Amino acid sequence: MSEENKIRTVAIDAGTLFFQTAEQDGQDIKLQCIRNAFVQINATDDIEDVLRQNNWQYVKDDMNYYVIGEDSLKVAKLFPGSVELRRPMQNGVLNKNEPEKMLIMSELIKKTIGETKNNKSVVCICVSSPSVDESVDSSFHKARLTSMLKRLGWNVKVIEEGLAVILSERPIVIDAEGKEAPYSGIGISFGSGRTNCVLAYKGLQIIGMSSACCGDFIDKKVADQLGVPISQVMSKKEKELDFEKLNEDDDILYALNVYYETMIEYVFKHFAKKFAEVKSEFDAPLDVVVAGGSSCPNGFCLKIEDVIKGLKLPFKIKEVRRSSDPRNSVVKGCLTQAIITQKKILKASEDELSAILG
Amino acid sequence: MYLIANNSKSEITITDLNISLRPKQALDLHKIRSSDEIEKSKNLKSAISSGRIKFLHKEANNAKKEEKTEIIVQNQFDKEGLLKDIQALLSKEVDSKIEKLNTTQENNFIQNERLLILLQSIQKNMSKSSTVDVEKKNIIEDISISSDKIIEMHSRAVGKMSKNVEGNIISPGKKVKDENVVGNANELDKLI
Repeated sequence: MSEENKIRTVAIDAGTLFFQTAEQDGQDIKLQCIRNAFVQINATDDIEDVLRQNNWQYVKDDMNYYVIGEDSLKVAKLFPGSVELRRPMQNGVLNKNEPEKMLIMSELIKKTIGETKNNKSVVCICVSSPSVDESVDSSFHKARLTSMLKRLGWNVKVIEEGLAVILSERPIVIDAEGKEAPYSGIGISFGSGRTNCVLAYKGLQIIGMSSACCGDFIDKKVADQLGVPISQVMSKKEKELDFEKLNEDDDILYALNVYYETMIEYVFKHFAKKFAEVKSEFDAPLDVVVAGGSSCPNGFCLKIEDVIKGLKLPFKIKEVRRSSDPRNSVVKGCLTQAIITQKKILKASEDELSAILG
Repeated sequence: MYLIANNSKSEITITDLNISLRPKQALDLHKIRSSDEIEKSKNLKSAISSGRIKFLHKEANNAKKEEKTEIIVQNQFDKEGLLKDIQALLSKEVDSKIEKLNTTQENNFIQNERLLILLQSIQKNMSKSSTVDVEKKNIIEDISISSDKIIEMHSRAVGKMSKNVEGNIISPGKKVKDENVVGNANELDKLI
């Protein structure tokens, strides 16, 4: 089978901050990560030369050039005030206020995973669970992403982001009889645009919820409260925030700690409510596995344990642990699902395809 | 309507009708007294005949008298003051019509009836529209579109938006060894 026609198994995590892909490559996995941001530059005679000379990555249409990824940050810093850093995604979904989102996203998809000529190829994407706070329409986002991928020949499988964490991290529940149930527990992705939370049992999702209380929320709140630029807050968060050795004399770190605690409490309270609503019965203590860029600060799991001690939850928690690769956990979980779906497609007939893909 | 005005510079009291008029004040007697009482009032007749009170207008068949009276009004009255009084009177008239929708007085009846009909018609239209809203809501909830059609719609939109688009995006990526991904998939395949 030629390279062009080979069966491919791919995953996409189109996040608010980063656009990530993972592809099975034999025993290896090929990971790609592009910052999901861009700046617009008006077309002039020599602009393309400038872009090529600087080796900046760009997309162009009839009228404009759009520098994307890390290069967009560079351009934005070079021309502060003249160019605006824009995002195709906001709060975990396609940014409804961004007119060029489809242009950017379609080009990102084309240049990362591209087209497939084999009708057994599978891509698994993740979307946010239903929101408990803001009214965020995931259905448009899901339909748009799916259509972009189907146009390129892919079979598309969609799962919720929290479930991807569970598939990747394999939490276990041990029941009263001592039997192990793998891929059972709570998976939480603390992302930039949204926090996603799922309860699953043996890989099957039971409940899911998402909230806007997340990384971007924390950055903005701290910046607003202290009157400092968001970039300064983000830098402190990434480089200095350590919940085990918190420097409370530093105003920004102190405020970050406060808002992290707020976020954790908010997420668990809402998840507990959802849990109670479906009257889910889990007697055995649950593993909580966390991932996502906002879970990266050192001591984050201890912080969670500390906060939830003071909460009345309708379930017991055995352990809180973080993914060993928190930034890639979601896309790897999606790839796991893509592999499972691929196996089923290879065995199934045409009629069974839609049932498998959902 | 039986409109009179105080032509003098002092207040006039018509005792047998129990009314008082300020200087230059105009008044529709039919508002407060019946035609019968007005016709029988000797004080009124005396005041009119003396010129202290001027008769302005009556709804009836005394057209000629009205004309004469009108001419006299133009020559002898403070026009502006009179206009103001008439305006005040008319606005009072409108207010009383709004308040007394169900009055039995013959002069008000037809206009009140019209107002009532208008209000009823408005109410009907309001209740109709809320029924329509409920019906619309039910219809919207019942509609479901197949996911294939939705995806086809989006696909066409995306196709148009990304027409004539090129780029030089290169993302080499990195290869990592992660046995968990395939291992987990195999395990889950048996579980699910």
